[in-house]
Amino acid sequence: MEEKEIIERLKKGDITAKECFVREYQNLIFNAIFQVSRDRVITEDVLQETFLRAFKYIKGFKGEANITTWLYRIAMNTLKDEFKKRKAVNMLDNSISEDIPIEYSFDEKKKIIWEGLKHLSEDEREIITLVDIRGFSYEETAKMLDVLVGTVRSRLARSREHLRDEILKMDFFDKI
Amino acid sequence: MMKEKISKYIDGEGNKEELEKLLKEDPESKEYFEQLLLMKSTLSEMNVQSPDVLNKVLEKDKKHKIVFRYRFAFASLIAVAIVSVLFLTFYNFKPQEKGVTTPQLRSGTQNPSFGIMAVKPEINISIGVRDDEILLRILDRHGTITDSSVKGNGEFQDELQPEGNATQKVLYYKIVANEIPQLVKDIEKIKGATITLPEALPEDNAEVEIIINIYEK
Repeated sequence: MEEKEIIERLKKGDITAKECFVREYQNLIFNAIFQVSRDRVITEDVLQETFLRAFKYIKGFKGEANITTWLYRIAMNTLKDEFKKRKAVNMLDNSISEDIPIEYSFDEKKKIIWEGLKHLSEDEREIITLVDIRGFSYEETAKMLDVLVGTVRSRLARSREHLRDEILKMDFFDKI
Repeated sequence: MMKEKISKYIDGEGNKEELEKLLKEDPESKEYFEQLLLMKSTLSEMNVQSPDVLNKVLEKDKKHKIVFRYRFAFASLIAVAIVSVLFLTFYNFKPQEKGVTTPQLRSGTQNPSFGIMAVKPEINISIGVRDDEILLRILDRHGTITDSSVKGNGEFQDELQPEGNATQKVLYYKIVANEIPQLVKDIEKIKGATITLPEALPEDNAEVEIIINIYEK
């Protein structure tokens, strides 16, 4: 099913379109949330809520933005709400807690990067996730973050430098 | 600046000749470039496999629809009850007042009505919700909250993108009272409400009308 057709059918509440939509985007959105939240349980909850919100608000989607951009924004807003909710009941601080386990499927190199990412701010992790992990262009990233392309360039350069400094301390480049 | 140029270069942007010259002449830049390349290459392999959430999403979606139907029915009942109470109240006690057809209500100075109340946008809202969490859920039903922040001293700021083409609103408000116990006996049964905001916020100190329908769990 074409993207346009999926969107039109989603607006009518078509169940097959919902299936296609979830299957198409769950991996992308899961990764986007996971790299920022760094917690599988939170990520899965937020992912489900993101799709429910998308179904709810799809009628208001006019196609000005790319559907991926639109969905990504919903996901990040949902994640913020989740953080806020958890913070309100002292379940989680906005910063990443020390005892979150390293993703089990990673090899040594990736584990170092994962550790390094912990020291970055959410904004820094977000931009690295979009460009370096998900492979979005500067233009696509700028739309998703609602900033100028120039901002993406400079923020990305700073975030990369920060991450590089962190993994340098952990001898990342000596292990290659 | 040099680092930003190198960062751009590894994404295929920037002046290729200038960068190649720089990398040839400056070993420090060359090392930084190679490190970023290696880092980027590792990052590109860091995607993790998402669990399949399709069934859970569809199941929850179905439940939401059923809950919505019940809530709608309950809200309709409440609305009818409210209108009846208001009608009886004003019909019985205020038949003598000339020129007043609708009660004029102001936040903090008079009791709010059951369904409609006037408030100031800055805002001392006596909107009849228990806390910010419930208000967020109320706003969320009306559109998408794009940003939320706690200003301190019980003040909040939310940015709301309403459904449809309506313009984004920035709402400043302060929860100053809980009116719910006056409206409903069992507060634990209150889960949230829908709220209808005006198309555009008026000038400072002007009044806006907010229509609230209360839902039961």
